[in-house]
Amino acid sequence: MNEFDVLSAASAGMDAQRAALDLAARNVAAAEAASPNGSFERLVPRFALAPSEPESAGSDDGFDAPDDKDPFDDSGAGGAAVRYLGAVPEHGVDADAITEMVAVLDAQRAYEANASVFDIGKRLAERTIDVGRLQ
Amino acid sequence: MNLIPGGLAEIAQDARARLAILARSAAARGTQPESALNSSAMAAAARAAIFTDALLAAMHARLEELKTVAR
Repeated sequence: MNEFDVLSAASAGMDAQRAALDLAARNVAAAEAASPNGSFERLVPRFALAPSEPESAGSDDGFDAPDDKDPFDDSGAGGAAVRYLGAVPEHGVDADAITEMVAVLDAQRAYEANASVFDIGKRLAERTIDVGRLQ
Repeated sequence: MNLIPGGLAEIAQDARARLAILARSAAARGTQPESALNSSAMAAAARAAIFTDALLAAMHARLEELKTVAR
């Protein structure tokens, strides 16, 4: 743990949500490009939890898939930062503008939440620096 | 010489570590589709942030007091 753990956790979350927004933009383009002759499958983002501590239990590639570890579990030692792993096609589901609009709203809200956490981390770091100046 | 009482510094360190864990948890919940639990994660992170901020403010006040006395 160091002074900037909150900042790195929030920035990892923002990175992941930015990737999700990029993917939603691609899906909107795919929905617009669809014609009666053919359509495009919807792509969904894939996320994983990367352990913050190297000695933490995890798979060989350093990532724990969400299925293997409960991302809601905040009782583990150190927790894990979220990472964007890429996109996978949602088989049998075509890209649809309305679905993507909802996905964009979700990603935007999550991005804003992470930005708020980043702001909190920044304020705490500033306060810590103030304490250090006095010592 | 350590001017901050050991207990206060230790608690502040623990609170900061707890806040980092809650921030990661909130980020992880935000990636889950249709996660209605993200609000509670954010609330927990905010509560931890307020607590950590209060502890840092206490340390700051303690040092300010010592600085005033030392003048």
